[in-house]
Amino acid sequence: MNTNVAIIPAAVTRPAPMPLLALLRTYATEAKYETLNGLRNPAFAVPFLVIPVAVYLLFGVVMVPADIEPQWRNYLFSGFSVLAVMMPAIFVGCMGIALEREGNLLKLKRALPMPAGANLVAKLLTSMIVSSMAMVPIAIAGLAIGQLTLSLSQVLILELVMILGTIPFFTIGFFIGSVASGSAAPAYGNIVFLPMMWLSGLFIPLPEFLEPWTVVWPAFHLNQVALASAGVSEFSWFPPGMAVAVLVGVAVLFGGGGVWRVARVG
Amino acid sequence: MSQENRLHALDAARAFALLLGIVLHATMSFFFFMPAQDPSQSTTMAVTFYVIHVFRMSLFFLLAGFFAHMVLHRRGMRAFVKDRAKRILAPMTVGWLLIAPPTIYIVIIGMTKTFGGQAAAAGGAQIPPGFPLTHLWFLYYLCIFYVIALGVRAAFVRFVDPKGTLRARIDGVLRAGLATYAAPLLLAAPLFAVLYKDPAWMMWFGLPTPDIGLTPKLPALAGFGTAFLLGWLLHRQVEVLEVFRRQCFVNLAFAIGLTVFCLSLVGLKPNMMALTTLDGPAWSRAAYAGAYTLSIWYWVFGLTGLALRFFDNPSPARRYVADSSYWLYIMHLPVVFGLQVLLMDLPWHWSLKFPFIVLVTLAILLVSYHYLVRPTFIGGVLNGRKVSRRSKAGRGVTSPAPAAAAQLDPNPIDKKPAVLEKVTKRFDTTVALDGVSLAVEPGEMLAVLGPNGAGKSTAISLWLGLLEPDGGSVRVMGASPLEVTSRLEVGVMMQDVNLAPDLKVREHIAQTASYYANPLSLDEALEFSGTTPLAGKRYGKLSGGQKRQVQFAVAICGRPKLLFLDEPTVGLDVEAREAMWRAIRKLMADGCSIVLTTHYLEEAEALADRVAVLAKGRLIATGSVEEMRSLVTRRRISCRSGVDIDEIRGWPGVVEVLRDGNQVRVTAFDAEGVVRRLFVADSALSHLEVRQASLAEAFTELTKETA
Repeated sequence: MNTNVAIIPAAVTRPAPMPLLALLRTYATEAKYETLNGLRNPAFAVPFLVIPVAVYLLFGVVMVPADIEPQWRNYLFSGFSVLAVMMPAIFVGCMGIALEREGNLLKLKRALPMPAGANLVAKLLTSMIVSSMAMVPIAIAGLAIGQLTLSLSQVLILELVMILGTIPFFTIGFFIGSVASGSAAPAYGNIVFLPMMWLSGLFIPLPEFLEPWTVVWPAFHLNQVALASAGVSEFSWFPPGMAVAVLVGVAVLFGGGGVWRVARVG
Repeated sequence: MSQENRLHALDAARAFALLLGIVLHATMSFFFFMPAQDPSQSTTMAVTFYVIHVFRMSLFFLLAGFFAHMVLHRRGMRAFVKDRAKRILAPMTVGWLLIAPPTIYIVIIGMTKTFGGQAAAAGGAQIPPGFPLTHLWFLYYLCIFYVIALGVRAAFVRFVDPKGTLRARIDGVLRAGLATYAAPLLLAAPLFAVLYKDPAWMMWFGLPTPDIGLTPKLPALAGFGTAFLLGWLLHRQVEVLEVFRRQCFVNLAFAIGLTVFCLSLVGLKPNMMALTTLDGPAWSRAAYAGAYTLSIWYWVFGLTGLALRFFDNPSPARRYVADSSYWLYIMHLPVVFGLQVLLMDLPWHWSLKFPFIVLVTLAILLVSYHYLVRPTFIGGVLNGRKVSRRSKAGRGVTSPAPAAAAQLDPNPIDKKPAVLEKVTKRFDTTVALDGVSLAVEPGEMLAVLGPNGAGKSTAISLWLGLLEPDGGSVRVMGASPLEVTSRLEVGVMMQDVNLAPDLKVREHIAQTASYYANPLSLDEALEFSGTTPLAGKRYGKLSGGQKRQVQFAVAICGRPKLLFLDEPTVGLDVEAREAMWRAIRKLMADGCSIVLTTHYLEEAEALADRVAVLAKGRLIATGSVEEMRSLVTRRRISCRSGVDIDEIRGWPGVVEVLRDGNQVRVTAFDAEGVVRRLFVADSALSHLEVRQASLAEAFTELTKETA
């Protein structure tokens, strides 16, 4: 008789993998608390929700010359919508992950059995939710007082494309956050965000020598895709298919880079 | 400067010359018709091409000659021939078979697009006849130079200069020439003669690239052959390189001046109608040929000096790029040309297309290098060594334990909750863990102790899957901790963690519990960890001790079978600490295995079944608390007595004596002997107590030995 029999039952057995349903629940829970934590912090959420609609009202409605061709109002509406989605997307990405890294929370989560993608998906959903919340007031303002010539369904399509368009900007932010420290991340975020806002030609006319350079900014491509999807053809300067490819490329490149960093360095 | 550092610098220069080739070819469609003429034409691109083309391959051949001499002298003739066959001849043959067809195909498409309707006629006329070596011509010429060099060397050693006096004189002339900036005059002469005399010399394109035809071309032999020879001679007296380092800025100034002069004569862009003639006075052809061939050498010397000045230290990143440059250069041409042909339809400005082409090419080739070349036999052929990717051993793959050992061990290795087996982990040059084997038995609490920097947190991080070992294997719950499934029954409490401040305690527990298959209910977790009163509070508003309690709740909420506790009770008051200890004991009673790291040795003494002591990355002792204490043979004797302590100090085995009033405390190895003598010296002594060393004393003693 083996005397060790008494010990063997205490020995470990391999845990069963999480069932799919439980896994989905994990993703949902993670996203829920991520968003909750973000929205409870007014310093974090308020600028994203207020600034875009405020600048739209000022520069896209009030200060627009009365004799402007009507389709330019549509263009401004689309441009400010891009602003509304890309700002939260970049900053949710970079702040969230940088703070988690700085506070060792990411390290803890990597040690816990959190499914690898849950944190990323949660942050992406948070940024999409905040982006949508930032865009709805612009849509309402545009439809109510913006004198748009777009139909309601065109506006809805535009909004939908914008929300999907959060993804590449989020990955840019996520990549920044995966490299920078918590205190430096917003600065780096601004280094990307501010030039992109102006140089993509979203709402101010650019000097001629800068015009060919708009194509380096993802914001330009999102604007092109959104306008094309909504059937606005006057402002199509770039093949929409190529623009989608650029956005997907940006998302894959920066998302991949960020995940690679986070998975190894934490 | 050490020999090794010089090699780092020259290796960087060689990689620079190769990688510049990618830039060079990427400029072509913006001022030239091959591989295709882009609608956006640029003088900047033409000048970029012109300047790079002046020196790039001469720099490369100089370094090739240097390294060839080095390999020959370090490894001998036979090994040299074998090495060159493997690293030059084989890549040339295979590379040509793979690369030439797509490259030529792309060039034909590009030129057809460029010349439109009359494509076949015009395009066909532009492609000169002869064997297309493509950019791999440099390997062909290398082979020619190797053969010539070995032949000439044999002739010198055997017949011409068996005593070496002539060679010593050549070395002397070279030294003198380099020291006085005059060497380029001599070195430029052969190429000057060849080019000046050649009526078909296309002046703007400088030294003609011998990429068509197998018959060796005279200009290439004169220009690159001289460079190769100079490199060969330089390795005979490596210290001469110091001159390049010193003179680098003067040489570069000469180089830039001469190049500006050349461009002023020949024009910023090639004049396709008059490539072989120059406007201007009769002397201008001679002046141009002279300035051009001289500038080659000043560029080569200046850039070599620049590398020696700034890149003479080892850098892993530079090493990686240098290793990859050979592959990048061999493979780049079809990619660069393909992108140029693709982009010619887009209305972008050249300043956009050009960086795009370079970056996309680099990205594609670096990724292919990292995954297809570096870790495979191709890397072995090209770089002379294969670099293995992260050691597979670290991923929880272990060789099966010998059957006999498995039978003797009540808990074979895959039945233990957490195992480190011969694990080594380095950070740069520091060895954090050095062959450590350590296992946690089911249901036990193992306390991992050690001074700061002993390797405790490295060991824990390996178990948590936060790090990968450099050698040995790590297992948690029978498999690699990198797999999420392995961690499904693991709980963790770390130090210095900031949980999300705006979530409530209850939400934190719910969030973490969602990671587990069978977690405690919220109320159970709150109650077990003593955090019920905090449930509705935001984490950011809690005190330090309360945060610790919440982190404990988060650690246990998943009903873990293996729990890692890192300094769990730091910052807790006595009551909270007692409560946490009670909770931990209850977990152990339920069969949970625990790994505790702590500086607070009383905690380990109170809770742990077993102790492992690490110091300087090695496991120096392991055993039960009792065993550890008995490892220290000293014991403590205390009594009330009037014996003179100086007398006690003289007794055998006594380490330390202290007196506090009439209380005497003695630390001694031979406690029995000391007690006997005490009774003899003072029969009236009272309150005698003999005690084993505490764990803290044992710990101090153990780690002192390794310090």
